[in-house]
Amino acid sequence: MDSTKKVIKLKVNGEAYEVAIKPRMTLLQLLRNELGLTGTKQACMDNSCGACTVIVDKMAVKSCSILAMQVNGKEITSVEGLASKDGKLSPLQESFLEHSAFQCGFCTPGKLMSSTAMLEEMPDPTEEDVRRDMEGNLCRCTGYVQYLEAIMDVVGKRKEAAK
Amino acid sequence: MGNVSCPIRLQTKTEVYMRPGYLGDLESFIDSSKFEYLEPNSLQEACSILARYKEKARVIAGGTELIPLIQQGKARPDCLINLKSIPNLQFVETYSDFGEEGIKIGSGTTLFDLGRSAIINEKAAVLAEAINQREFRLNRSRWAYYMATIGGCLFSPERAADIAPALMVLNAKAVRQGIQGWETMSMQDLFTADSEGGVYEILGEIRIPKQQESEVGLAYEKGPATGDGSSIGVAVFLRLDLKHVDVEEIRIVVGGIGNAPIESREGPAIMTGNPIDDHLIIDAADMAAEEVCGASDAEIIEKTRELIEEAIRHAIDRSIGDFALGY
Repeated sequence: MDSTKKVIKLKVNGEAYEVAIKPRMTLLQLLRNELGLTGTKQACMDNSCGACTVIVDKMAVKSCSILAMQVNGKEITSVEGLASKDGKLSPLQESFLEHSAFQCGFCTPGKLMSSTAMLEEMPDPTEEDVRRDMEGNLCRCTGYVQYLEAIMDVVGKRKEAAK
Repeated sequence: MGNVSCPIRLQTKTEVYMRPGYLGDLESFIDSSKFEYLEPNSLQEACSILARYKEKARVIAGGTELIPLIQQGKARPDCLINLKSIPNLQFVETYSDFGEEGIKIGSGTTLFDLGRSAIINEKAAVLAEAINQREFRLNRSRWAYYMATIGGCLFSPERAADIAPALMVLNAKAVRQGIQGWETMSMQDLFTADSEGGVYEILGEIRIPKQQESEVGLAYEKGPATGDGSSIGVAVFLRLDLKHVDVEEIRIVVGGIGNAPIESREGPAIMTGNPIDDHLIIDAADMAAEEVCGASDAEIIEKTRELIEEAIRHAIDRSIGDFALGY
């Protein structure tokens, strides 16, 4: 093994991995280049666009801006881990489809991960909460209305189901 | 054909149009950002490493500030010291020792945890207010707070505008660990000491002394950035006399103008000992803005003046409480 490499252990989408990596590798590079999980997108590389958002221990983070070394021992969920093993989409994924909340789709994985983490922490957000929480995820083609509608639809359906 | 021509086009485009950040996946770029990565077990060990590598080492906790700079080739450390490996750097606790009471915050505590901390919201609400109004210039999502730590925040270029003014009006103290031992200093001294070379100390915790229960108004206001500049943050501490008429004490700290927060002397000087009055508030805001902004352009002075005036009015309202007259 390359002597400059270090071994980290982590769980990605429920699967345990032990990977030897160079310390300078970002979490984004680990997911895409080492584990082949290319659903997480690389775009700005400076923490500004949110396309690379993944969930680390239930919190959304920009994977371009943290080192893979920093997630040693942690549990990661990328967009590939949202659907169940039998291929059933998550309620947010379904809602994004229903509301056509994407056009080119490049930013969609990041938006899905941010909104998934948000609903995990805040099950009943207001529109204002959603707008604020999604500020870090940029979209350059669809706009932001459909995303908001898709997320609020999931919130509404959850409320209905809880009655 | 496509396989052959594509890399050539990419190469040309990369050299001419793309920003360095876009080279993140290319081996040539990756090789240029080599560094040794170390995970110390204690602050003392981290200080020893810092002393060994000197300015060639950089410290990270959340890494939200430095990692993008490394990606873009704007920072090229030989050694990266990750403080997250040090146990017991993430805490928010009350303390009571040597007759002094207050809150202590570990430097590795994330802004996310601080913003949601019941202790902070109850006993140092102005800090929670500053955190919740904080905007990363490039990443406005509050998810950024999950990685960003209060320690890292105080040593980032935007530190002056955000957390520091609130900590300063709370009279917070910084406790730094060096190779020889601990050192406690004011927040103002923390920024000055940082610019003096040759001292390899690391911020361990921040101590906020217990605040007075009543008659005190603490407020934080923040304005958006002007042009390429940092956004401006203003924190105000104000104590009225028991009749809620005269200003007994006022402190105004402004961040975002220059590298470190500036505490106004002239604004408080004209308010202290005088009854609250609309003209007095406006005059104090004028003087404080002129004083802290110095030779800044008129737009920045006006924005600062507005923020100071608003923060003073909020602080008055809060110190009067239920009797607020809408100052």
